[in-house]
Amino acid sequence: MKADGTDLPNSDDTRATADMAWRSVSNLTAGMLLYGGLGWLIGRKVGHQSAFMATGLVLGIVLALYLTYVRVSNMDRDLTNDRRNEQQ
Amino acid sequence: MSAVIVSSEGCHLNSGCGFPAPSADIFFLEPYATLHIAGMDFVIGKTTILVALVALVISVFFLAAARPQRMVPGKLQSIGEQGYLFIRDQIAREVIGKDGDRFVPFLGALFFFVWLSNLMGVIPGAQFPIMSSLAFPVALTLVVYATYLYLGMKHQGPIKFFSAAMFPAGVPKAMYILLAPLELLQLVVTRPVTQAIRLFANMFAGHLLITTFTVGAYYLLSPSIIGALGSATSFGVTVVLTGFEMFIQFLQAFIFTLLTAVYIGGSLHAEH
Repeated sequence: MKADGTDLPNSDDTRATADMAWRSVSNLTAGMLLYGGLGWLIGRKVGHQSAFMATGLVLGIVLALYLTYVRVSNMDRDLTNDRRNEQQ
Repeated sequence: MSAVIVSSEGCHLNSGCGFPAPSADIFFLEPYATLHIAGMDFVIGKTTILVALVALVISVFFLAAARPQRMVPGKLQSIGEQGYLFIRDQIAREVIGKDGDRFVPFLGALFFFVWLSNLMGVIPGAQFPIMSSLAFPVALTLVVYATYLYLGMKHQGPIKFFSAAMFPAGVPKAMYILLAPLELLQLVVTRPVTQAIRLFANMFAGHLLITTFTVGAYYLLSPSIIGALGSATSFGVTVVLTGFEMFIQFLQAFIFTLLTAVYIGGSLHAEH
């Protein structure tokens, strides 16, 4: 490696992978907080508090997992395209 | 820790009193002095002194290591350079890329401050990991948070920065109603909160565990076979846990800095 880092490969791969790994954890937390909380609030107004909260929690988890799936697919596609462009 | 041991003085296996299990109280240390400035209380305690000490040690070390720049480096300069290169090559360039070099001072200061603060948990005399006080990880995370939000809005523009995070490609438009608030919450709330809590909780739990086995070794120490064996085992576990804790202390400092680099890198380069 040169001292000024000019020969460095594109670090997008490393960063994108690391970002994705940590992001999935905070996405899950955010999903459960947001939709679990929303379910809890609706339950307070309508009744059946625990049922609404549980539904919200599951919905939050499902959405967070879906989001992770979408992000990973996008990342995979972008990295493949980048590599193809570099080879050409 | 000493408060627990003092309160459990004379309290042994066969003396009739129960095991004085350490609780969260061990993290609330008695202040040495309280200063009243402009209607606010500034507490000078063990943690404050340790933080000042850590800051002083790091500053003096790196200033001394950088002062006589020789072509053939001395021991001090060599260690300083190794530390700098570790942050530059393993974190800044690896994660941020070519723009990483200008963040090395920030990332380096963060890493060595967190690491040394954590190490205070096993250094005899200090024996209190600074990062087990929630205020410190929170304060550091706020600095990191402000940095990557500012960089993101500066390099990508505020609208693009938030929209790239909130509206990922490849999702049916209708799903954005459900996903956009989730992504916004992730970016603005859970990302900094998990970064701070991860560091805090690891240091908190590690210190509590070591204290429990230390007090256990003291409590079990009594003139009986069970007492002697139990005490020796508990002491052995304390030694092993201390070694393990030192590894965790380094790892958590590394993870905290790595995450900072990941977030900064994400702010500099637009997401696809």
